[in-house]
Amino acid sequence: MKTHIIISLFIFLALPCFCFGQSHHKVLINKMEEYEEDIQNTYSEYQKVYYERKSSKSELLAFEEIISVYVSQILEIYETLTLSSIKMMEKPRDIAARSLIFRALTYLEKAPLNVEFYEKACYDYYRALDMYNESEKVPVILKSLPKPIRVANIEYKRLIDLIEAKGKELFSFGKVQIVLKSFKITSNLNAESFEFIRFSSPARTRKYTYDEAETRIKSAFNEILINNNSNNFFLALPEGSYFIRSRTIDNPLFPYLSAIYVRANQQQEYVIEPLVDWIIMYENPTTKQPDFYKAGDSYSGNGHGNSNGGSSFFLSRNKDEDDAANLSVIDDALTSAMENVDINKIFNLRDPWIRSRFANVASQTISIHISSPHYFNTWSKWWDAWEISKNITDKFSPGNPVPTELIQLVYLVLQKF
Amino acid sequence: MRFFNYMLIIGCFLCLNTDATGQIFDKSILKRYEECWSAKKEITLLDTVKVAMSKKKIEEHFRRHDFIQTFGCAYEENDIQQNSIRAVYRAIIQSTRNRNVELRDDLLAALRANPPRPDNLMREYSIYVNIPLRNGVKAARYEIKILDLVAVSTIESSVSVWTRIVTRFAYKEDFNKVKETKQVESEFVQVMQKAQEILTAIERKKFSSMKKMLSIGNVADVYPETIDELSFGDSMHLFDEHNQKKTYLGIYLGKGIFASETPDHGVVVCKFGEERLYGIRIDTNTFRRTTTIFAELNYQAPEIILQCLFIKFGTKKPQGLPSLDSI
Repeated sequence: MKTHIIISLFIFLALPCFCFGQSHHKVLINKMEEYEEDIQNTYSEYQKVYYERKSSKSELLAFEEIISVYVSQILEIYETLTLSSIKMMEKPRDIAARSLIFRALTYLEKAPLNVEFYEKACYDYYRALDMYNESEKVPVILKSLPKPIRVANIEYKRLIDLIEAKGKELFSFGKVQIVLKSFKITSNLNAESFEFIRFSSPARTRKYTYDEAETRIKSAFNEILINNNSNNFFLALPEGSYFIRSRTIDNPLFPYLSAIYVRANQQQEYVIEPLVDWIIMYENPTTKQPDFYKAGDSYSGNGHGNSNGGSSFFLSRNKDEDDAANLSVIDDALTSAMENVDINKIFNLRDPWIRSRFANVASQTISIHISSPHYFNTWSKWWDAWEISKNITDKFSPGNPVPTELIQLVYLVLQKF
Repeated sequence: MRFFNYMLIIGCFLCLNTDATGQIFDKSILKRYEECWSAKKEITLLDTVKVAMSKKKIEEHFRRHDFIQTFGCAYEENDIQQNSIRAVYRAIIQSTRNRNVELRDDLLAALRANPPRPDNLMREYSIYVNIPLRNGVKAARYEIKILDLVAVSTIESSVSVWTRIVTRFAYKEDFNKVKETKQVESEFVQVMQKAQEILTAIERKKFSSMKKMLSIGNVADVYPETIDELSFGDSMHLFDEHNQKKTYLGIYLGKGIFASETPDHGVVVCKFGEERLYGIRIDTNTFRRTTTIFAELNYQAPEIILQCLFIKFGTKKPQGLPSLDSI
């Protein structure tokens, strides 16, 4: 009897707290939605003012500031929700990422006149993509917008379509994620004397700035030399080659040690460590050859790319046999992935003839993509899935938007390799 | 016309001596990196320890009281105390390997709590070890006496340290339980010798002899999964981005630096990420360890040698990544 009373009392006291917690989160998420709608509206208004009355500089600035205020409010709420570790973080994360991308798109409108805004836009864009780094969920740019947005008489239902139309400049940059490690407070490096220099770049990317990089590098070094811990930060850099140089260390060969090579629309991880009296900056490689052996249970190929065995050294079959075996593995992976995606939303796959033709075309497109250099030079598997899906859509339903379910389907197939 | 020719020659000369920033650098700077093992006109730590090992034999009274002598050395840190700790640690580990016993205590923590240094009098330690028996293990007290702890300036580091220690079980009954005792004075020195040969082979671009020394053709014992797990001498495959079936061999040296075959540039020493300059990529699924001794004894190639090798091979690299279409 006593136990019953205690349990009842506990439920009586705990339930309101739990409900209050839930409603509190709901209120915050509602607030985020409101701010997001305001951002979207402000972005549309900004377009009108920008294209209709270019002279009103102060008005444009006001719009930018309004968007920035909303974005910072949304990010603050997002941080609060992250810290309170609620379970359903997908919605707040999508809102936060979308708001950052809208601000990036606003910056891009202005960028042809103020080139440093390309860089600024990239930092927002990468910050948004960063939120999906360790997640298997569909990134927000590939999802439908809560409300379609009309820009220059075209209605966009997804951010990726809007970015492809209005923000292609973002793809000229690459993201470099940097980890500083093993630095000690006794190090005699003077971060204030560092310079970050571009020494080679394709002509098309020379107009873009990389002003923020040096400041970020210096502050990361200063922080690690004080705290003696590892430090993590990212840079948005136009495609090209760069290095860090010190004004106080007079060795013209040292920049080779601190050089980084950035390819457009890619995410790379770099590590900086001390080396003798200077530093070394090297990539953390993440590339893997597609592992057909692992992906297919009934694989009959040569074991090319077999994990850990390095069996790609022991090739025995000819190219045609290998290609056929690889294609059949992709086919199997596609068939099994179809069970996990709502395929009714992809073209007209209920029709058995279209379905079998789709399977052939999709497998071949995936096979061509993963054996090309592009497979190792994309942002992530989601980006590969987007590129492959675009190609498939061009063959099945040219001119129409790429179905999100198709992107998901291709992503699931790529995950197997 | 003659003036034009002179200008052309001067232009070519400037091109050949221009660094990545477009500035002209003195050729003498490059000369500094021509001979990595003798650039500083100092001796190696390996030679120093080998001389000590040949001259310093265990004293008779120690030998009579069941002590064994081992050596250790270190150069990895730029601090005498840290190197002293590492050197003594290596000598003690060698002793336990010789007696086939396992550490029971956290030896590094014990050494850090009372660090040995060449200039202090911390010369005796006592730890517990496990003697393996048929029906389990037996704890035994183990005595350590540091006889020499010397800081020297060598090619590897200006604060290299070598040490000579003697060790024994505190109680005779424990001594009697251990059947065989090896008399290896320092496996780490043997490893340093092998590593130096490998690094010299790379310096002279003798890639095939390096492959032989590392038994690359053998079945791997360990498959590291990330670059943090890589150790000196681990191998990897790099594949051509355009034709994935063409593969090249890479050997990891340390601090993100590795030696690799390339499609058009022969053997190069580069850092992770630079392989993309040659249109090849590392297959992270193919990290392999065929020679485990370097990882077992935590060997790390001297940073000064790695830096030198990297710079020596560095000046002829392409300056930017090839475009995706041209790969």
